[in-house]
Amino acid sequence: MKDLDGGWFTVGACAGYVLLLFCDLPLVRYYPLSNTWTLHALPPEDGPQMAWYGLFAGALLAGTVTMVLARMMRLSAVRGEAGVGVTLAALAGCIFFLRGFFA
Amino acid sequence: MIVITLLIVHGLTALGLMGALTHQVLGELSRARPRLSGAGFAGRYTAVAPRPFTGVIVILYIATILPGALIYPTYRLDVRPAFEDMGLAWAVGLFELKEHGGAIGLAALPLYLRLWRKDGAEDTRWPRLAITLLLATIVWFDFIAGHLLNNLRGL
Repeated sequence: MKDLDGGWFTVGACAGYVLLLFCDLPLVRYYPLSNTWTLHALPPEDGPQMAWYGLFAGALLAGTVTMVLARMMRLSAVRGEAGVGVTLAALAGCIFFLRGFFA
Repeated sequence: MIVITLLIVHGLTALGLMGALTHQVLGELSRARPRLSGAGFAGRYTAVAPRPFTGVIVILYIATILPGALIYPTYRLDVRPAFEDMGLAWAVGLFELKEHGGAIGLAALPLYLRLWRKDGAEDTRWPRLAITLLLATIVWFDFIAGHLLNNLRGL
């Protein structure tokens, strides 16, 4: 636990979040109208879906896996500049993904 | 009533978080650029030691995002359809950007913690300032966007 690098978590979680967002692959989907959690998209009769919880859960998983793998492969800690760069790129990816709303 | 209470808690913790992050950014900036400091209000405001803010900022960030996540379904069922009916696609997009920004900020917290824990390391000063500035920008944006959207159509 002591040797796990939070920088690798940030890199994995940010990259994972954007990847899942672009591929529309949240870990779970929530349908608030019927209070249903599901792994797959349901038909429109079930009301609006919420992917945010599933995207975030996926990002947490991606970050944890990346951090543990980096430890197992004995990789050195992520440079601060690289971590900030990946975080910025993830934000830019989200803005690009949402550009249709502002057209 | 629960939703309103959670919304108020969400807003109040966000306000505290915004203040703490702004203080930390300006405190760190004044250390990097000592000429920014002085004897006046600005000098005293930026003269704080920025490191002790770190733990509080992490706790406040989580405490802000939790009630937001709990009231999200109410937004999805009651507010977003109203925005769509009014043809306010940009408002829907603004909320989406707020939520994705909040999630990316949360994912960045472990790096933020690590960069602030390396006591006095000169080579991490600029990444430390950059990640703190990034978090401050996300929180300021989310706060203003949240207020704007709540004024358009409240919960």
